[in-house]
Amino acid sequence: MSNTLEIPRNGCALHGALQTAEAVHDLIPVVHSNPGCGVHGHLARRAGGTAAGKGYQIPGTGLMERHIIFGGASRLREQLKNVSKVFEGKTYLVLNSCASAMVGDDVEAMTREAVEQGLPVIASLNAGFHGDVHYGYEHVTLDLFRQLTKPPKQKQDRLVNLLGILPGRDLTAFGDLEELERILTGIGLKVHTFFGTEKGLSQFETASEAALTITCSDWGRLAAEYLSAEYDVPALHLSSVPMGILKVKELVEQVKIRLGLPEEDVGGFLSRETEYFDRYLSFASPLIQKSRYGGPVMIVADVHRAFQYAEFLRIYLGVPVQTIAVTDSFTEDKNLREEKLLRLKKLAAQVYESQDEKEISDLVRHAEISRVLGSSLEQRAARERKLSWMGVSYPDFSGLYLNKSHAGIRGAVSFLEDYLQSL
Amino acid sequence: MPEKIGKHIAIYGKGGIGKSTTTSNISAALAEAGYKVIQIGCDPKSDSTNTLRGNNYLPTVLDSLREGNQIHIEDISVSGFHGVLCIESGGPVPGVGCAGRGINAAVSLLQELNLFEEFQPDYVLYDVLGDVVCGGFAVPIRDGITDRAYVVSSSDFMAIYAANNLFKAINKYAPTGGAKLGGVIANSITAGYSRSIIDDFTKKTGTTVAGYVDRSLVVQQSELYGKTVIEANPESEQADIYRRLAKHIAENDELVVPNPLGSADLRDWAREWGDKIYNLQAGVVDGREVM
Repeated sequence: MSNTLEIPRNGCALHGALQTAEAVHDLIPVVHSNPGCGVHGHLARRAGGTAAGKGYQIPGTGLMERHIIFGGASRLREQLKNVSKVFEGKTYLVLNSCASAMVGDDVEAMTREAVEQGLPVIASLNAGFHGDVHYGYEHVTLDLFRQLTKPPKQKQDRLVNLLGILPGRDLTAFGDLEELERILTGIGLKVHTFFGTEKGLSQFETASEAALTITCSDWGRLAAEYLSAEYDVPALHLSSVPMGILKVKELVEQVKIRLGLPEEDVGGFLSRETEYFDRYLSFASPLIQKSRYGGPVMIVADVHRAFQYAEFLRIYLGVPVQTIAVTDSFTEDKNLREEKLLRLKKLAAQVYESQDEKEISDLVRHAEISRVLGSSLEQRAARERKLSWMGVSYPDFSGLYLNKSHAGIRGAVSFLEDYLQSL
Repeated sequence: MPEKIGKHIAIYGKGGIGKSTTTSNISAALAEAGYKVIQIGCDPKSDSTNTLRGNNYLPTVLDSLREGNQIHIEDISVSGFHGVLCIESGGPVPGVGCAGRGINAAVSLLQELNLFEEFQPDYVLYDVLGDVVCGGFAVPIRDGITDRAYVVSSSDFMAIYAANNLFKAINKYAPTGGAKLGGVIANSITAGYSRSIIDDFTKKTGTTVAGYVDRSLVVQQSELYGKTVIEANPESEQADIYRRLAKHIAENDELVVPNPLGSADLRDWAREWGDKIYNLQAGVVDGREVM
């Protein structure tokens, strides 16, 4: 990591929390900050492809200097009342900011007061300075479980929670959640995806009834561990978003074992999915053959996505990955970090950790590669060398991501299309 | 920044050490000597200028800012003893908001109101709350608002600790245009060794003592009258002590950038003095010189 950080691709913890909260249907985030904190994150996501064309309707307290000096709690009280009139019948989530955290506004007391007055208000105190968007996702998700999840009325042995895909950060977050839900539903399960579904709030409430929590990245671990400790919901930690038939089979197999599903529930489904996947793979095979002569690639993405794309390219396209630049921080768990690094190094000749545009662009300029799978921030360096480029990570300035998926089976086919077209 | 009108002096020190009493008496002595003086209390408690204005009600700068009305200098100032213009920055209620930012905002507002251009002071004294706990409380010594700072300290370790912290702040900001140190005002001097402790501390940090203010009942009596010593007991020896101190501060132009002690050095230094004092009080005679 260089001493200066140029064009970091990660917004602050508040941005992470906000974009996550926005993805929960009927949850209204209220940003307790000076003007600009919320809208800045939104504009970045609009430019970066994950909120393209989306309007901004996030209420905020718009703290001014007098609120910093005298405290902004009363401004928050006032704003919660206003918000409840404009967005009637919703649940409100107060998100803290650097300014309000530094002056010590007692957000929790304001939240309690609003609750006593009958407003459904919860709070997540993720001031921006705590970390980046990943931290924001991790902690707001935890806070939502802590404050929304109720003790189980009845455990449901075929219900699973799905975590670790980051709305607003993972370009294909919603499509991936839909596809993984389709797969898990296909083997007879009910799935809580929490984000992008109109049942989001009620899914948070009943997450304790699940028989398993599946995490597709380390950023879902914290919440999964909470559900495990508090409600005895065991967790299955994946290192990437499953993509392609082999990874889907692995997932299904593990879930089958964990939940004790009978073979007849999964066998038929997997056969149909295999047939579907193979059909499209064969359609594309002439192009795939051609793509193999293109030479090695570089992947610039968060850890879970780096695993996902590197493994898919190797298994199905026979394309070697020369370089991986990991753009999120590895887990703080040293052993887990070492294990992940080791596994990444088996997939690529060179593995770097960086969020710095210049550092990564320099890697693009000097690596022995023929194409780049990354964000728009690497596009210029790729163009200089006339390398082909494909957007797989945030930000993608030319991308529009609604429910496109790169997960599961249909997402894998979609990725094949994107990849082969990008050559 | 335009040329400063008058000498701007910040007075710091640990809470309860006698900053406001000392500052008010310096202001009173300077005013009595014919100078035009402004004293700005930079403390949310807003009681810095009480004894200069006979405890008259004075709305604080930040109270006025909170109301959001158009603010005029006459709304937030009152003329006290011998015309000392008294101003209190004020601040949030304890435990809420950011007092440091409040001081910053209050000082900025006073500049915007052209206070100094209109009043044409010879001296402006900033009486700053307690320790330099964060950037907000360093505002008066930063950005050229004042060009000199004094620290009030007794010989108690915590007071010296606070003084050392101020030295650290001065040391940090002085190279970029911040205030330098005028000296240490040794306050509440009682036992024989308290002078020696402060003298030794100033020697170790490359600073000087601006004046020694002995502990005196006259100070307490005057405070209880709601007045400065200069006003309540003008003939007393204590009043002369303050006059001498004020004269020194008015005339002293030998400003220094102190060399604060590191945490470990300060602790060792204090321990050494602890042993010396204990031996002195306990009457230990071991053939060494104890003082």
